Amino acid sequence: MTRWVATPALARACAVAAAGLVGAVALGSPVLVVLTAPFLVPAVLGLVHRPRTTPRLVPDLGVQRLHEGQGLASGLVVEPADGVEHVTRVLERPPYVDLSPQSGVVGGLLRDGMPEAGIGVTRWGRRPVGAEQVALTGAWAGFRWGPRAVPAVTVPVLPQPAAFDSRAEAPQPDGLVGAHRSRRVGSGTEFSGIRGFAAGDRLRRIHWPVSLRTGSLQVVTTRAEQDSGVLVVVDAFRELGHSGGVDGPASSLDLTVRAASALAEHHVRVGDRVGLRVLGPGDARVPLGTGTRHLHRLAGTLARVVPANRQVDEDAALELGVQGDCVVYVLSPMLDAPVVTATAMLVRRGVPVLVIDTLGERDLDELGGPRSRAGLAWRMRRVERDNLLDRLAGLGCPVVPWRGPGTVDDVLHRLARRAQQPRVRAR
Amino acid sequence: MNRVRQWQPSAVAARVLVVLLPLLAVAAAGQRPATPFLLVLAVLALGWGVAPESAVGQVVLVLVVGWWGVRVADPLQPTVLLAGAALLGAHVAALLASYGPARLAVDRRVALLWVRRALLALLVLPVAWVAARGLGSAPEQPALWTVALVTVAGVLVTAGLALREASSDEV
Repeated sequence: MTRWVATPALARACAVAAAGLVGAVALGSPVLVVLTAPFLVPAVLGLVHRPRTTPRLVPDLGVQRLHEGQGLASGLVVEPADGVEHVTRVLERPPYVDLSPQSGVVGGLLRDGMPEAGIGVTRWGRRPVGAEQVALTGAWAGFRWGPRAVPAVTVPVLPQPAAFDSRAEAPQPDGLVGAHRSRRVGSGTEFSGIRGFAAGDRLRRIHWPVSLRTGSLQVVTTRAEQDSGVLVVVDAFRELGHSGGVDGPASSLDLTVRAASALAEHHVRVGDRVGLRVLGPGDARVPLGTGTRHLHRLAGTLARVVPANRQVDEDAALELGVQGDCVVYVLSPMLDAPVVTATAMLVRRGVPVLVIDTLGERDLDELGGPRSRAGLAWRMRRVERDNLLDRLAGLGCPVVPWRGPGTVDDVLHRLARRAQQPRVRAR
Repeated sequence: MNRVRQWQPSAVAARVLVVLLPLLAVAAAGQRPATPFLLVLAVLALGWGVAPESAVGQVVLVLVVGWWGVRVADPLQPTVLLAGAALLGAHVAALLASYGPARLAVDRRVALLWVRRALLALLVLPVAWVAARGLGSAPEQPALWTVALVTVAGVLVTAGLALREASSDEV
């Protein structure tokens, strides 16, 4: 309704006052006037205060993006507010959105400020928030405008990075500058060795104690410090389990996206170049890059991940798009043959690949118990998957379940040691 | 049933007042009404409490006012002031309950505003009562009723025009 109409309260006050006056005159009974006279006041004042403006509702959420678990106030601006006394707002509650108050209904006098409800998002993704019905009431509750629907605003909700830190060095630092110890000698600070002075060496590199002892000039050599390329591959072909939001149980895709966010943030913070490849709908690719802006781009891409809603073609060939030397993290529940095959091919090419298993713990009771048909099918699927992972491990590809901090340290140390050994690449 | 559980206590309190105050207005007369009338009134008041925006409210108020005018032996007794206050209270309680769905708690500041407004409106009540008592003891004055009729007609026409203008305006 887009115009001011009389409220039932005004109609009631007018009707009772009129009936009382007419009845009193018709029946000659003054008590009818006595009983209905107080209704004249809200009736007359309600009619007198009829608003004359055309209100416009402008949603004002005040944020461009949110993180899981964060909230915002559902701002709304009424323009012009002349004649508006009371505002009632009824907010819709889409999935993974919490409202405060829980009913999503708020109301109050406009002169005390626009009544606001709290909106909290509990899961990453693109969440439509702020859809509501708004009704405005004029002075003395005489006239009402609305309820009028205000459309939702889609807000990207970035995954909350899982707690993660790593002190492991990258297996293949190959950039220009960075925090990882290079295999090459360069101008870093990490000690590499001592050798005889040669033309071109900087004088400050001379190690005087050794030079005095040996009788000839000796210089300290250091290892270069380089950044590393890191490609994070996110498997969005399936979502297993139910997501309960940021504080509830995590689905496999929740684990995948949050772990990807944590890895990306960690590596960008230490100066690595990080790329992203999403396997699934949209097939998003973010090339290698670094810096805070690039991190925002990665997080925004992760927020747009949606699980595939159709069966994966088991014979499809996947190209993960790995170029040059970089470390590849494959975050996947490893239930689809194309992902496993593509990973195995990368390993055979000599690319350091680390599979992070994001299947998580699944409760068989959700499937009706271990002896139910669904439970039995799931156990058979797990046996097939374990077999695939064993074969992958046999190729030299480590598979670790996501455990948060330190998940990849041990494996990266081993990959770094392996990277310093001679190897043969399969093309 | 789930929807009823979501009702806010303040909204429930307003609805309870909507149901009870018309019955209190009848009780203030100090005489027992006919049982069928009481039953009908109770059912209608209950309906008004469930749907405070419905036209049942007008029926309830008119019924009580009419009963006072037709059935009460001494309608201008002092307790008519209590009845008048109860009727206006029921109207205001219904108004507060109809600001939104029952899941909306009645805002304290809105309630206080309407209590003040109701008290302002109730100032008319003793004035009208004193005037009615004065008229009751005065000799018959046919001209007074003619003036009253013209005044009422004027008020009704003005209110009707204002309402029609409001509903026909495309704002």
